[in-house]
Amino acid sequence: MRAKLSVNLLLRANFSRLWRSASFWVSVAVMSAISVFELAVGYQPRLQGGAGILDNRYMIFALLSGVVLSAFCSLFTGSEYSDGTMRNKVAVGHSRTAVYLSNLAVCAAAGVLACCGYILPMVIVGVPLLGPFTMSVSSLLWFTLCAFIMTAAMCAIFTMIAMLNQNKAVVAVICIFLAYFLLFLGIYLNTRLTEQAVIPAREYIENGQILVREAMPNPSYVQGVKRTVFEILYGLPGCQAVQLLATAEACPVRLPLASLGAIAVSTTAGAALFRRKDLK
Amino acid sequence: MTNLLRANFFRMRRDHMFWTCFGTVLACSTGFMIFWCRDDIQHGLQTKLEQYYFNMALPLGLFTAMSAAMFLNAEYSEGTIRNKLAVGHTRREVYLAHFLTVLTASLFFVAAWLIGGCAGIPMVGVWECGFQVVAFYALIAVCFTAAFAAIFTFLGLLLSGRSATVTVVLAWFALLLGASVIENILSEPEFASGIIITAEGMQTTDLGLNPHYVSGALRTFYEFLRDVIPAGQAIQVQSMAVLDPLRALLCDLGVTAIFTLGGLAFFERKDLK
Repeated sequence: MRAKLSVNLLLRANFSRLWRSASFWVSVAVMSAISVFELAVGYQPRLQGGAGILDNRYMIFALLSGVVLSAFCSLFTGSEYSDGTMRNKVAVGHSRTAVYLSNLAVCAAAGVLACCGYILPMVIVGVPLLGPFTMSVSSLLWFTLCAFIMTAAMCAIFTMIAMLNQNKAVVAVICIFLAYFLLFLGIYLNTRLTEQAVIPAREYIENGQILVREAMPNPSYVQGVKRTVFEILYGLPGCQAVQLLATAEACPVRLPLASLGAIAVSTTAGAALFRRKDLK
Repeated sequence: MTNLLRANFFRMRRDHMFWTCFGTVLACSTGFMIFWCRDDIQHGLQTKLEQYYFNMALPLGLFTAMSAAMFLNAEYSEGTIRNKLAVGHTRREVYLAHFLTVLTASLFFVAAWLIGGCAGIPMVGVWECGFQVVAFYALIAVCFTAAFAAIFTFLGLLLSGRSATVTVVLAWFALLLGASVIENILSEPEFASGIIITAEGMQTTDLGLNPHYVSGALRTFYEFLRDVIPAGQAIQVQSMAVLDPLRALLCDLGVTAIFTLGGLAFFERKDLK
């Protein structure tokens, strides 16, 4: 009973700080600004008589959320150390696990809200401007849910880094670097894993003669253990953003499961290490 | 000024972030080059050293940003910057000393990239394009790195708040994003494809003008903008396609001068508390 009350108090305090946090509102504003920019870029072909497709533009928030939230989580959680709030919470009797989980919950909620900062202008302005989504509502909601769970997983990893290191500048650099790294790794893995196994037969003309090149195995096709390793890495939060975009309509169940796994592992490890941490 | 530089370099030699970035650039440059060359050789593909040599040009700015952000942040958080002014150094000297330190650190990263890339020489031989071409692209890389250093010093020294580190590192991402958008616009082909794939096979049609192709004054403006953004030049160096080398070098010079002079002017008036 006491522990439950304790977490509620911590959550209330953290959310109260969140609504006053400049970094949170900047994160939401950045996501909204990018959403408006994407809409403006998407509307241009429509002005020239072409068709603007909303679906592709809608999904971009999954790619951006990692980088934006890496900055937010490091600043928000880092303030707990720099302002001495962390020690105060522990001093008044809250358990370290409760402190850890409350920070994680607020960061994950902020992550989802920042994504909503992108989604709302896209839906409210985008649909009247560019027309309705071409994918079904169920696919759209499923994609959004998968992206939210991935965002929460990213927040869990950033929170773990921020809770285990008291130097806010170092945390910020590590988190942002990690977000970039996972994003570019995802793009690289997508390129390698979507290579065709066989290069199809092709007809071509040389010196006026029609020649046929037989189908041949693609040397760039990744197979065996290497493919398995690449597929596991491709499921990591961050890398997963690229996969979500590539398979938006039929996003496999293993993606949110991988994200939930990442949340469980990072939170268990983070909370265990935080319990032993010297808070000075 | 000499004393300030000596003190900064002394600190840089003991800076963990500097050595981490230096080691990462060297390891990535060497590792990726060996990986790519070995991959091509195994698949029986003919490869040239320059095909992969410039790939590390793009992330160089990130390492400059991380190193600069941490180095400049420590100046404020440890109170060193006030000590320097208290003992009689002018603000101008302090700013320039920091800029030169960040610039030196970033040039070390460029050197790490260029040296690490040579790991491919035993596997595929030296550059087929000639040493002059490599030196030319390396020169542009040095210049855009100087422009990055000027921008990050400007941000790192003028934003002394808690979010300065984050702003500096995200500035690189914003520059990269801006440059990528411009690159996408400029890479639109002038004519729409004249080939249509139908159920009955491939059919050719008349070539039509691509409505997304940007031409005239607007294209020149976009090209200029791509050169002004250091990340835009990094993209061009990476693909070994610098459109106008002289303009690129002049843009680097201009960006470095504007940010350094602007930084000096603002830093003179900054409240250091």
